[in-house]
Amino acid sequence: MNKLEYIQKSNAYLGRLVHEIKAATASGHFDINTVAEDFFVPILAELYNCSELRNQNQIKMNFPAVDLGCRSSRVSFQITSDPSSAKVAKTLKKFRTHGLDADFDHLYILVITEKQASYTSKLLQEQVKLLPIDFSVTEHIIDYQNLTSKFSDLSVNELEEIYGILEREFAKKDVHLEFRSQLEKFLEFSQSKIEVEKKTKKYIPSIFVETTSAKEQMRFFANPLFFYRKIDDSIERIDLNRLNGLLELAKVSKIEAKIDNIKNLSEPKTLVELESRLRDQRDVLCYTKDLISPFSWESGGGKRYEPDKSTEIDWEIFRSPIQSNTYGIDRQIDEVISEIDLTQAKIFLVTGMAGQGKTNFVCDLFENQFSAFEIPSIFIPARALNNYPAPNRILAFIMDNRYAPKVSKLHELLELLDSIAKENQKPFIIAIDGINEVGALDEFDAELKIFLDAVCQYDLLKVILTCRSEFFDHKFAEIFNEPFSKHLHRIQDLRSKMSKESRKRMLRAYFEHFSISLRLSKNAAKFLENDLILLRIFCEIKEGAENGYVSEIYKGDIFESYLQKKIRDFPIVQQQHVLRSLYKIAEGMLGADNYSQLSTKGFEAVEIQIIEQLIAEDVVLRRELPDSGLSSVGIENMSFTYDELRDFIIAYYVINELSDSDTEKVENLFKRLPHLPIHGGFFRYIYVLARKSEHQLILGLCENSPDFLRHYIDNLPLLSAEVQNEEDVARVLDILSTSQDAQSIRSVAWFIFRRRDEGELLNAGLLVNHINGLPEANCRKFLEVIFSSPDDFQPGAWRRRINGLLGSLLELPDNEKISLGDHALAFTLQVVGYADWDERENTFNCFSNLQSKGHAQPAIELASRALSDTIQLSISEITASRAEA
Amino acid sequence: MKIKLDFVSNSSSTSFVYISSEELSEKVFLEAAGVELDSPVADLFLQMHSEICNSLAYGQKLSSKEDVEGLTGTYDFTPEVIERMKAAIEQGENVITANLSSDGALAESVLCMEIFQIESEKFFINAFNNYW
Amino acid sequence: MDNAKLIIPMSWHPDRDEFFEALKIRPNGLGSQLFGKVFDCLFVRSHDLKREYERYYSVEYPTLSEYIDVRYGEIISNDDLEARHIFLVTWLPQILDADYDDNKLDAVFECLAQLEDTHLENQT
Repeated sequence: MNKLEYIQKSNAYLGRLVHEIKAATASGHFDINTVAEDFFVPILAELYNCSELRNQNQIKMNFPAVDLGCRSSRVSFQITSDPSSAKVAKTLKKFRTHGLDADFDHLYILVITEKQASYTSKLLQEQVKLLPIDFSVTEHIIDYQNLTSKFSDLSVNELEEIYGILEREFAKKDVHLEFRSQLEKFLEFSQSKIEVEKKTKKYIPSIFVETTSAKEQMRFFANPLFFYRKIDDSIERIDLNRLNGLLELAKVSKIEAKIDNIKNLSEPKTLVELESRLRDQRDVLCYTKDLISPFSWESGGGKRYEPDKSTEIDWEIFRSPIQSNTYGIDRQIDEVISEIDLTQAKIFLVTGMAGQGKTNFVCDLFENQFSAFEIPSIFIPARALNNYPAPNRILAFIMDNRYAPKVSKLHELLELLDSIAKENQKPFIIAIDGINEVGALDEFDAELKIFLDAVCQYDLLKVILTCRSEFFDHKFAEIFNEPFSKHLHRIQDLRSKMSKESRKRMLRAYFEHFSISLRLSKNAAKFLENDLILLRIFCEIKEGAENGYVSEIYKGDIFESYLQKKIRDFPIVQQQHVLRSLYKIAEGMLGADNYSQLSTKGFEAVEIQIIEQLIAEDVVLRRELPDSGLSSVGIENMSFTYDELRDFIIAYYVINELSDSDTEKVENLFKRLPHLPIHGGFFRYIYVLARKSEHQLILGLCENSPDFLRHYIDNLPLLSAEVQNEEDVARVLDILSTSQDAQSIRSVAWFIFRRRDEGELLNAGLLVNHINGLPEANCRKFLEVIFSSPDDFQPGAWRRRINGLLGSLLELPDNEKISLGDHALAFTLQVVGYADWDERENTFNCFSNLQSKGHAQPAIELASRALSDTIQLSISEITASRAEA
Repeated sequence: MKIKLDFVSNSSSTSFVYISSEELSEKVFLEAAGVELDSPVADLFLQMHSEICNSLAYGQKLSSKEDVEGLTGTYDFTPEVIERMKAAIEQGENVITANLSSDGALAESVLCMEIFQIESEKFFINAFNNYW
Repeated sequence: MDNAKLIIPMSWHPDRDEFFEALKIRPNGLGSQLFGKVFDCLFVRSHDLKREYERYYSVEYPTLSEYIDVRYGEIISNDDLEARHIFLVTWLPQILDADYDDNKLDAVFECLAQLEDTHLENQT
């Protein structure tokens, strides 16, 4: 092997060692002494030239640690699995109090799991100061990553030595494992498939956002012998004391639930033992449920408790708290039972809409959870099954790789997988991702049923399936009628509500992955955080972009750039066909008046190839359910993944092709547009495209539409700086001044309020100037309109909203206030006079403060041009209090 | 004092009974509640004492067994407490029923929501009927 | 994701008797009934994130701070990460409700701070 191979293989071994240590530590089985002796003594000796490194046994800690030293090189290693500052500090103290500096000039603390990102604790710093030898927390606290980083400095011979140590020790560990090498092959095989998903960007690891509850469920499903302790912990928390106390007060016999019998059970050594243990626990929990259900609000259709006449009053007094308490315990028990059921489930089905992250979820599982725990598993991207002949596509796929075992029949394979699972005491998981992407669905449906049925015959095999929900409900729903369906667990909502923090994290992760270091305005960031597919598209076109600022996101521009990029991604010979294919789809949809899907009938071979590639990426196009019937055999249906992109492409086709070739068709389209499902989106993009290209015909058709103004207002955000013109300014000002529709005024006002870039014609300055030009009564009326909402039923609501706006400004640190820009601050000064006293005063103080620091003057000057008396008064307040100060 | 601001809450009042020969002093109440005078949370219990006394001032003094009998069927007091009230009247002790509101300040609201009984040498309070 | 109401890093190991002692509350009275619930919500029904991490999540997440950040969206300081326990409290009883001016949250926290200080002094 060459140096690189030694490094890679040694890294893999060390990685495996660390994971095993972490798992053993977490479940309380870890023996640090054995690991230190077997692995770390020889490795450290090699890496740090400590030929006489041995266990000193001089320092005894009250936590797991090993004290190693080499007197010839005068180097000491303290090995610990606990990375905390407190433990490191204790170790340093012991080193010092034992006078070990007499024998050692260097001390390393090796954390054999993972060290902390930083060590800043005062306690530790004190101990470092007191240590008689040099010690640096960054240099002398090391973990396996520090060790592996030293590998590249070693010679090939030295690396061979290290690799030999690791290989030997693992061979000793694995000697009784007949299927170890098979397991490793399957793990490698899956990893290679995951790498393919990464290359096509179906899976972007760092972008994956924690879908906590789904991942948690998967832990019970895939790794029951590790996570059964969580079930024990949950059972531990079930406490009937409070309920029994209340029952006693209500003169009802206490519940003798035997829950204590299922606490503190002995540790199961095998999955079979675990199954029996969990069954016992489940039985007691169900029994407990039955005992308490008569007392719950929801007795599940069972008998409700009826007191005797003699205890009626007692019962009635305590009924409600008893019912409430019981309900809570009942929910607790249900949760534990569902966790137990998950450990025993055989099929984990994840369905959801496109773009919900099913592939990311499964790939993340493999890369992180499964690899960390070495869960035997196979990852199958379902679309790859299209390359294999039915009816044994799954088997054929697994066999078609150099890691494949020597089997030819499904049950031979499953027996092997079952043996691997038994040996490792972890279920063997087969994941098939995206079963909706398999063609010839009817055939595959049959194959899948046979496969699942076969898997369920083996105790230790499990399957994960992902599928788009609409596909599943139409095509595979009969699975629920099969005998194996009782082993099935389904998740329908993978992405539980993402928090604000999660969205921000996701945006950062996307940018990091695509090497984008653009700065985004708050508006732009929020826009992208709330639309995952748009975020993905944005990142693809901006990949590698540095040092820019994006104040606004213009969807039309983004879609156009994205289309151009997509075309360029194809080989040159195909490029001209790409746009043609998309135009053909648009034409087909318009012709059939069906915008949800189109069949591939009538497309040429080269076009179908292009369509298949776009479907594989799942961003532009996706496969749809095929029609049934003989005449439809072999014909696929497709649709646009993203409705807005569809509308854009149709608009693009109309303006760039149809308007040149068939004006009449375009005019007819505009006539029937209000009745079409694509109305809003199509109008938006065709107007923007027409503005960009100054296409007079289309502009005329748009502006003559009866609801043009409504669309115009709705689509103001799409007019990029290059497209905006003085006509837009005039229109906007006209709406603010003369519109009779409050909602239109509101939409326009808040739109331009958020436009802080003075480089654009449509910016917040227009709003400020408009308000400045209003005399008092009109000014008040205008502000009342823009701060009101159609749902308001109390007259003062608009003022409370002004309070709210000012409140949110006051919460910002000064630098953020200033960064809002002069126009936004001027607007604040224009509205403050209409707020309530508290908010007014606080805002005045804020501006005085800003002014004293040399900020806010331009905003004050802007607002001082107002005709309104209220605004003038506000300005005076601020400038007067500044003068006083 | 800031009262809990909420949309219109389902405010409720609950009943309790106080049985004693004397007025309830702060010292006695705190002692019975098991809270030292210099406890960091003593002020909460002093406030509770005050709320109880206020409620008692507007409460109903029961003077006869018939008054107590009238409480049967209201589901405010258990039969044992009813009997205790009758016995207390016979022994010449004061028996006063009063109300606590969930809408009041923290101390009163907490008492209203809690199922409790205080037995001491000097007094007896039963508040099993609570916010629920 | 739990909606964190409070995160309480403590090296003092929660003990009901010590808690009552610090609050100068005797057992078996109204005081212990009310503040027993406080103890339960802060230390019994809460999640000890550190314990959870060490027992279940240390294999998948490289560090405790990353685990808490990714799973709960909370950033914990280095000093707080060193505490023996990191309690995530998701429900507070009325006595600790910030909507009431005279709630006892601060008083309880002061007590806990004293217990923590005493514990740390005993350690050194």
